[in-house]
Amino acid sequence: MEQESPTSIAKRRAKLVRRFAGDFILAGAFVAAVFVSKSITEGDPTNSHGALAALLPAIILTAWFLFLARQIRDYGEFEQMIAVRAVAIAGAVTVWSASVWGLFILMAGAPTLPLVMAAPFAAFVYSAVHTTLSASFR
Amino acid sequence: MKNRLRELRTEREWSQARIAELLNVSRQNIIAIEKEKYDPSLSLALDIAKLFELPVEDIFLKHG
Repeated sequence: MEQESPTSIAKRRAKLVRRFAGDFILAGAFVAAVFVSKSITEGDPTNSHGALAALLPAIILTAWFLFLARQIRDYGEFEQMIAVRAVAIAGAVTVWSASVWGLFILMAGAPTLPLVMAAPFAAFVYSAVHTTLSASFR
Repeated sequence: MKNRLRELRTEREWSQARIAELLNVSRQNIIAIEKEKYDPSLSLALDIAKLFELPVEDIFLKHG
């Protein structure tokens, strides 16, 4: 592999920063929204605003998915190939993990985990797989 | 798929970044093609052929 020019390195890093900045901001907003919504419902014994409280993190989660989908749509063919493979693997791993854990909950009394963990777990797996796949093509 | 991209690029003394810019793809894409780890789409293969003014089959060589 030939030496990369400083300009090329800077451009590539700027693209990575933009990509990860969006992810971190939305992930942080999602976690904050979950805590805010939880505190609203905990302070309300009748839980009359439960559905509304759930909407806030749900909207942020939807925005996160749309952000990811738009990124993938705007990628070049190579980056799109890697991203789509990473999404497929992350989805499969998340579904498999949830099902296997469910079996342990059902039969072995394992502790239940909140379903809300599914999206952050999938995002983590996606990042790990994306990084691994990108490195494998170098 | 075997290809002559690296050979043709170096003949013209183009860097990977330069050819990536000419083809409007990423440098990582060019690296993957040159290392034969990634086969370009038909559209990109035709763009590469047009860039080097050669038929596609003179650049990309199917195994066997």
